[in-house]
Amino acid sequence: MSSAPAVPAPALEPPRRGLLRGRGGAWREVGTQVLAFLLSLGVLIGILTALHYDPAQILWALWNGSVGSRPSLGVSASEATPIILTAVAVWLAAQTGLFNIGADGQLQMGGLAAVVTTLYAGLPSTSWVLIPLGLLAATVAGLLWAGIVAVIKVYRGANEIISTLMLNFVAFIIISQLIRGVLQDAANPYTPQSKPIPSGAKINALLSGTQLTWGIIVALVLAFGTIVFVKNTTVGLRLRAIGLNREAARYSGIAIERYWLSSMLISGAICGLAGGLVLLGLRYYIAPGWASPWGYTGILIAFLATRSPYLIPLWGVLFGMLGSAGPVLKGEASVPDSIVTIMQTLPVIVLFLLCVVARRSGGLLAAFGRPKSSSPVEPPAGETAEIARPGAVGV
Amino acid sequence: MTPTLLVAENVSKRFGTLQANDRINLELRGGEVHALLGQNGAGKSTLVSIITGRFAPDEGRIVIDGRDIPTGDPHASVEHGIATVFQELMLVPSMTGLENIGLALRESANRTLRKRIEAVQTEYTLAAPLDIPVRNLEMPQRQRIALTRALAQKPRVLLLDEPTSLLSPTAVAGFLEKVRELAESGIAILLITHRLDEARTIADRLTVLRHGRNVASHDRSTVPSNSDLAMEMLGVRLVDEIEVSEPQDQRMLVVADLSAVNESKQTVINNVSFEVRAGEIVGIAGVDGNGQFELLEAIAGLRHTGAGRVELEGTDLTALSYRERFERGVKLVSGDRQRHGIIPTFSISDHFEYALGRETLTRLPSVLSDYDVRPSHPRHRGDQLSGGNQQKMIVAAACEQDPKLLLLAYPTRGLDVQASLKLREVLVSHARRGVTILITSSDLEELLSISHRIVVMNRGRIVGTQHREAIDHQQLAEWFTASDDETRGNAA
Repeated sequence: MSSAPAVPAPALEPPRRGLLRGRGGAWREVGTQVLAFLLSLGVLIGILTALHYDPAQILWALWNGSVGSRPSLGVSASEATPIILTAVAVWLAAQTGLFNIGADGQLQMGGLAAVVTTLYAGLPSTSWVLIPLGLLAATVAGLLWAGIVAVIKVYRGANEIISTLMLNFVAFIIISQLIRGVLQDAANPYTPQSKPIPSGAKINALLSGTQLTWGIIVALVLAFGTIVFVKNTTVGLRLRAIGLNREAARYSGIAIERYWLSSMLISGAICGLAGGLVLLGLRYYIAPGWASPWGYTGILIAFLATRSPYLIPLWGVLFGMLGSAGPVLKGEASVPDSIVTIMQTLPVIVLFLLCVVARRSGGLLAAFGRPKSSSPVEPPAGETAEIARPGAVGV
Repeated sequence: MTPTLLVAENVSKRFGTLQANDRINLELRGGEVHALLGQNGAGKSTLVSIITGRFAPDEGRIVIDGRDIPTGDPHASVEHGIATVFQELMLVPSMTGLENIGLALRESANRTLRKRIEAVQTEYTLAAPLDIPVRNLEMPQRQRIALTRALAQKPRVLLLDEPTSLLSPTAVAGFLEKVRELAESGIAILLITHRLDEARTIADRLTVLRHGRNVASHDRSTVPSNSDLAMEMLGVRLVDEIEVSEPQDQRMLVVADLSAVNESKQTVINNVSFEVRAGEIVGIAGVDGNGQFELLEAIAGLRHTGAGRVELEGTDLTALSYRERFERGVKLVSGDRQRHGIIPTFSISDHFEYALGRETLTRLPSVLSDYDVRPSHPRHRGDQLSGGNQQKMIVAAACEQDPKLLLLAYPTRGLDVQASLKLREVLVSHARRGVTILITSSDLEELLSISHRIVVMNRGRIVGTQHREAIDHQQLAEWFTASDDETRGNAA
């Protein structure tokens, strides 16, 4: 028979705030994520060996295709840009408990707006205004596209997961219709694609012979800025309060709907900007498949890094490198596409498995969620609700 | 006399500083219906959880047939013939009745099981369709499935936790008859309820709990009147009366002809009218579930009202949302801390900062000591405080927002004596400064100790009002238990 559980002893060392939250919790989290990455690399090599590929050759191709050369460095950076931005956008919305699956659609609409404004604004093709105009248009387009979702969520209670997902398809269809119709490039009448943007709208590379632009810097600054803002301001605290316990926030007089609207709009705006940066800095015109599924990769990363958002840029760069190394892998090591996809998803699966193992064994427990005995046991009155599990993306 | 089947002897259980069960004794005999009465938080659920093995008691033992059974072991209690039908029934909605029963018995839902279950259904005349997903069944049918599931375990002791709370009045009568029949087949039945009439109708014996203790036990022949039973449940001792100050003359809150319905369109507030002055504390008393909480929700703007008016300082609030009323100084504090108060992972200072802004943080240490929140370190996690300290923190945050009208729903639920006393003192001192307070509680003593006025709710109506100086317990008790006709008479 167990004796009465005492009131938990006061924490001698209260958790600190900011970058290093908790008693080493943040570092443990980082450690787990690194462990997940290394483990997944190990699993990958195992799979490749079993499939009779040469692991050494593949690792070499990975290195070469991502950071081993100047061009590949540029590709890595330009792949990482939209991934970082969409990841931080999805993470931001998730703070208020909204699941923005529509990062992809918002990014696509951003790209579309960038093309349309730079081509049809009637400005000289070398005007310096083109780039800011294109990026602004992209941002607004993403914001409006997410705005549809936010408005029907707030005023009609529509589930944002479904509406964002559906709008991805709508965005896709609108774009494919337009590049076959009014946006069709007259010079290429047989391929559905838009005219290329004017030369003045193209973002120049920072290093000649590469695709490295200042887009990656914008992405990193914006990502860190957003995370620091959410983690360290009262507004950020309110966003998180809504995501963690909406009813409590309502009782405290927080205008939930207003925060939902703004977090969703900003999330969409960031995704739209990502689309604009891709278009003006990398693709220059819209054709089928112009946007890789960066938006979905962003969702994965937002999921991976819910509890340690400062890892978002890191994961973004890593996934960008994998994206960049993909074609090289195919070329040099003759590895099929599917292997590249496996490489991108393995860390996610491994991390989730680690979480499960940690919960079961209790060994890595402190790294995930709250310890089992953290809050005093409440009597089993019918109305004691389960404490929402912290860290879960709030849906 | 029928033999004693199960004895709970000197059962005690403590959660943190809350003594949920304090040396409770209970005895169940084969073939009897034993009603366990008490308000929410009286310790009924804790006792049931101990008998079913969900919790181990700190002290005391559970005896079946004169032998101790292992405590804290759900399997052991099932093996010893204890079966439970929980309030929420615990059925998987998408599965059929047979699948649900199979799930509980760890058997596959095949023909053998069907035969056995059909036999149980015939034996106890509990006909209910076994092949329709449970979510498509009416509530009484679901309950029959849950009951069949419990009976299929061939129990000797059957615990029914608030079984009638989900049933319509007509279904209740049928259900109680069924319970009676089950008892006559030799099973010992423990019926947990806070509905006096039910207990009176079918119970052979009655045990009343309050504050985790045995308050009274009655045999069928000696059951007192409903009003006496209500007083046993709600409590009347006036041991720790707190000095309250005279309210101001200014009229703060006016509620006029207010009505509201619940989610299933039943009237929960019926034509309620009253006025409250600035600095006045009004206790809303009644047997739980008679519209007290809904009234507070309606005043706060969280529940849509069909008719009537709410005014604060002469301003009509009726058309305003919760947020708009909040900004005008109406604050609602719920006793359901986990759902309505605590943000998981947030520190104490986070709780204050998100609700009140960063400026508050400079005076936070003094606020925490004023409200006696312990540990008072602002960086301590809110969800790791004990229940009482969580409640003090939430009340502190609400009070720091300069309320004009403070609505408190069961604020001391789950708190120990010390913590709830401290909370009451805090409320009284706010009233002294002119804050108007409406408070509802399962505990009449608590309301009597701080309220200037007690209004009694019964079936959604206000059936009576008494002032602090002239409390007539007998009259209160009659109001608590007045039947429908009488309440109408009183309201007219």
